[in-house]
Amino acid sequence: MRNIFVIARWEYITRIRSKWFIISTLIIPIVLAGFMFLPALLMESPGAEMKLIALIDGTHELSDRFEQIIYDRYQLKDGQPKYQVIVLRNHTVEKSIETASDLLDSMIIDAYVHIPADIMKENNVKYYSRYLGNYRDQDEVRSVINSILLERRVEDAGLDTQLVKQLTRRVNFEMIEIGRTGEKKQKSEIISYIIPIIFVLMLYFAIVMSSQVLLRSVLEERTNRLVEILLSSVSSTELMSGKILGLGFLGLTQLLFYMICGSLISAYKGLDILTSYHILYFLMYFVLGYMFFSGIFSAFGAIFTSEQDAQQAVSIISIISVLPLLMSSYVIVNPTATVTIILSHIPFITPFFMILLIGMDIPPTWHVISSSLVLIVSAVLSMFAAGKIFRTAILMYGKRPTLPEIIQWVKSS
Amino acid sequence: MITLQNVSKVFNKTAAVDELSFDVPEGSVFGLLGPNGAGKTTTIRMIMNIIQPDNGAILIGGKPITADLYRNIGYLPEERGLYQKMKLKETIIYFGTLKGLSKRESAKQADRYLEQFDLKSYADRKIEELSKGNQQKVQFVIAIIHQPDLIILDEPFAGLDPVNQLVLKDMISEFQSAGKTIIFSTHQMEQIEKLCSTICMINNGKRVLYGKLKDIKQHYSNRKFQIRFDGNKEQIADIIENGWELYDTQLSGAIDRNTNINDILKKVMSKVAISHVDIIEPSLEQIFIDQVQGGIKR
Repeated sequence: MRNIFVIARWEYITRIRSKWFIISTLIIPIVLAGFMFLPALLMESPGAEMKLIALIDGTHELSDRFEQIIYDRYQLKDGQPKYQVIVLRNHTVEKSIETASDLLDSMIIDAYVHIPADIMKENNVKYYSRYLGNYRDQDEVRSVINSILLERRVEDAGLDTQLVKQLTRRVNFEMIEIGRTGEKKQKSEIISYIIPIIFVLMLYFAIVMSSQVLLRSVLEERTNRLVEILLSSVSSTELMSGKILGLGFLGLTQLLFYMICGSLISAYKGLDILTSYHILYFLMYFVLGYMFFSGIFSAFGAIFTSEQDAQQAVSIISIISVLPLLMSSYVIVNPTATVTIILSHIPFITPFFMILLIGMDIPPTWHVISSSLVLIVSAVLSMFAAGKIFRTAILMYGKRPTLPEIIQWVKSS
Repeated sequence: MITLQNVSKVFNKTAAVDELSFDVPEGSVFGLLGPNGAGKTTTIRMIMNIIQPDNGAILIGGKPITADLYRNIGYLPEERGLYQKMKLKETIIYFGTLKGLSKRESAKQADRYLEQFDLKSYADRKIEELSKGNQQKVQFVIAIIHQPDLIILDEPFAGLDPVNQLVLKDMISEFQSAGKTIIFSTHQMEQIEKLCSTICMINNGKRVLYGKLKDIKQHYSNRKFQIRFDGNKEQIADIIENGWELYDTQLSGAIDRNTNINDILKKVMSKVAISHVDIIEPSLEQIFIDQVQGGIKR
């Protein structure tokens, strides 16, 4: 027992103060935050540059109003209008379109809009741009044209413009999600989508990264042959247990750090992002998931002789276990689908899928229990097999054992 | 101290160690020698309980080995490495605590040996900053930090420069005078001749020579003598035995172990005046080569 503790402490202390660990722990929340908020920030913030738009008005009546509304409605941060409109008034509409496309080709204007003469009847407008990805610009131009046409139609029908504006005003759409306990939680759609994914990432990094550190640690002692000195002092079981324990605490430290970050953000935003109920499940799935993965990774460390060899095998497992991330949008939309439930019983995936569902408040108790049972059994089997493989393989050099040999070791006592 | 009884180990159907028996007397410096691949490292790994023998018994102090006996053994493996990224002193302390020392005791011993091996200024440096020779010293410190009574050194001189070989040799002599038992394996005969009292030579996993170094040398001695004399060589022509060579002022030849050099000298002395006598002992290296090549021939 003492030896296990000595090894666990050494593994924990030497890793936790390594630059690599500190950087990788810190970088994930930063990168995540970047991924989550940067695109939103970019889209939310008014464009920094003024856009030049050409307008070809087939009706010859709407251009003034178009300019008026678009200047009023959309401004840059510094208060300048966001759009500068050039109204093209050539002899014919065709000539105007020609001019406009020349201007567009030579990158003088960003887009041009053609309002045909029969707009009131046909209800068709064409918007030309080199790049249609910026849907914000298109939306704004469309909305301006809609407003003009609505005004015009209301006037033509002899109705009171102000009254109609009053009557057709848009509803304020506030989104509220009802939690498991029935309390109402006010969340924006984006947050209820992102939180479960962040949950998966937190657990994924804590489990997979500490398992990878474990693999590297076993491999290192094998390649520098320190394992001989170690095994002349402690038994292979003590060595493996000490490493798994020490690096498990390393992963737990990382997870706790993420949870503290999460709680701070929850408190700051005034949202119930991370509750004590979540924390409990995080701890449970971390312990079980880590047991399962660390068994596999420590066996890999003992079997393979070089990091490259082992890394290939590990990347396959990592890809399988990152499946929940890739599939998270499916699960979020279909949390109770049969596919979701079946996949959540595959031990490689269970911890991540379950924490994803728990992040959404979805899984019924039976689902939690049945998937956890599968995971517990797999974790125990993984530890057991890893112990046997580790003991046999740790001192074998030169030849990589074949799969039948490995199976033989596991079977033999 | 340590007894091996008919110990065998088979790897992939070839016997790495074959029915090996020897006894390491307490307080002796025991040399385990043999060419590369003879089974030295496998034997040591079995003594260290890193691998289990397929057959035979290994006894320490007459008892089968148990985990707590290892607290009393220091081991320097042949293939050596260290945690390159870790600091020197804390690594030594770690291995000390694994051997059962308290952290404080381990630190105390670490300081002592760092001083002795002239490594004090590196105590808080990363191991990768040390030269190879210095890293080897660190490995030696790790092997002995817990003051074991039995020290097993697998090829300890390999890769050390002459100065550090001398430091290590002094250490071994110091341990010997402190009554500790030392086993070391090497193929450097010169070191064995200077340090060991008892040797076991193995080849292809089998024991080919075993016993006190002195006895072995005598037993295998094709000792040679060389006598220079003043006088007429004809005067001693009648005492010449088969294989001896007689020159104008010199007589030389081989003596087997049944012959006493004094008898030869007496005969020569009675006829001529002896000016110089040389008795040339065979080197262990020669015995080693003879044995190994003999083994191949067989």
